[in-house]
Amino acid sequence: MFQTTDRTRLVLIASAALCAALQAAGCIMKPLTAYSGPTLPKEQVARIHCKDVYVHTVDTTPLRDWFPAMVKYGSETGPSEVAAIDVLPGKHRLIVNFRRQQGGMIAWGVNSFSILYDFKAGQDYAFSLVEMNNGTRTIWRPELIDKTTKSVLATHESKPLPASKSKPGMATVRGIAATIFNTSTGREVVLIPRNKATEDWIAATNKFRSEEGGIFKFAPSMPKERNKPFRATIGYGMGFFEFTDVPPGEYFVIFDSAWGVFCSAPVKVTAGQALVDNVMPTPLRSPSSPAVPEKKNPPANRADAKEKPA
Amino acid sequence: MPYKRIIAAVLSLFVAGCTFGPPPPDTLEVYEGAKRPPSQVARIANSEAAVLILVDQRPIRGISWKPGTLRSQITYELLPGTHRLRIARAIGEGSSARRGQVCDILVDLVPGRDYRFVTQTRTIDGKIEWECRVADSLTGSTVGKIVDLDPPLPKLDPTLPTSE
Repeated sequence: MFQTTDRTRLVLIASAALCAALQAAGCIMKPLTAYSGPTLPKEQVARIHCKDVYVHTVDTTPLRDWFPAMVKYGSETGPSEVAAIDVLPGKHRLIVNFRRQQGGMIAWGVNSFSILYDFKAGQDYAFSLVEMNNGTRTIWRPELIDKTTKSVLATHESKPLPASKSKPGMATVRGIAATIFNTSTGREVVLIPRNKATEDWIAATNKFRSEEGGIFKFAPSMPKERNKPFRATIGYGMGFFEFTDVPPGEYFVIFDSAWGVFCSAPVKVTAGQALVDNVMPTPLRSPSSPAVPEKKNPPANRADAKEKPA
Repeated sequence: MPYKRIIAAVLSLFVAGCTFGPPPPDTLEVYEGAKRPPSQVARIANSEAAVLILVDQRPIRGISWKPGTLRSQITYELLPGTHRLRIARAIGEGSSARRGQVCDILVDLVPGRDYRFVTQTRTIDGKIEWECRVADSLTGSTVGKIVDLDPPLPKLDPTLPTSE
């Protein structure tokens, strides 16, 4: 049995914890401002309500970058408890996913989708979540709707946008980064220079990923030589990506998918070339040499056999 | 004490029966009489999203409560011909399984063929719109048509005199 003082202290601690939780909940329920600068009145922003589908990235900025103190999620998830976000009027790309709680289980979408739309000031938007089951599996897709009329305004991007123009003397590098189950939509795709250090790193990483992992094994760390230039972008649509203003040279495009599948593709930009298209990073391939012989890559370690849908 | 041995033997059989009893069937016949070969029946498979609850307005026996069998894994065998199927949206599995919206589909089943449920769920503001259709598993094409849940009462002929 607690003494009276202990009991009082417990009540105080519990009250403080409850207040903190309620305050945090209040913060989360308030619309988040996904733009820089002072908070604008509702008439000057577009409000996107998130109930069945949530936004985790606006354009190329994850929401957690705006709210680092409040949103402490891993790279694969987002602020799914956020009730609404405010964005500035204009064209924005939203990376969205869904999260559903049924009893004690929480379901997430394996992949995110992107929706590109020209938002209007003072308008309220929402999402509808469409799930289709063909008897064996369920797939989902989001729709952006007018919150008032419920009419569908836009659905997910399924085709790549036309290639952006780069500065003279530089090229646009684009393609699609996806494994059998994962796409790079909402995930990072990077461009690093090709040199001996990065080639060795890719070979070592492929080897590391192809072997049965042990808890005492550590993934090879990226070499310093990858830093100049180091470019990162966020995939959209069905895993499309694009880098603009890439100077002539040799590079690797890297997509390290969520379930441990490491994909890479060599890219060569020659002088005067304006576009390098259809780049497709693939797993277990090293351009410099077959770093891991096929015999040592049993099918069980390939992307199509290793990954399982959630 | 012989009766103690008898009790022990009976208990052992009971425990063995509980532990190693036959698994619940994944396929159930929804027709009377002797079991027919696969070529003489049509099969309809439940899914995680939809389950069959009525055939020709008669409830079918379910085995979802039996351990080891999930409702979504059950396939029903029906006699060929026209049937009225009531299909329910499945929510959850096992002990937490619930039913959501229902729809009636009038379908002409062909012997030897497999059918499955194709569903689309649209969630807006927490409200769920649910559509279901029956598809031929081989071709993927839709079969049957959605009919009203409760048959409407026949319209009275205004030319007929009323009882009063």
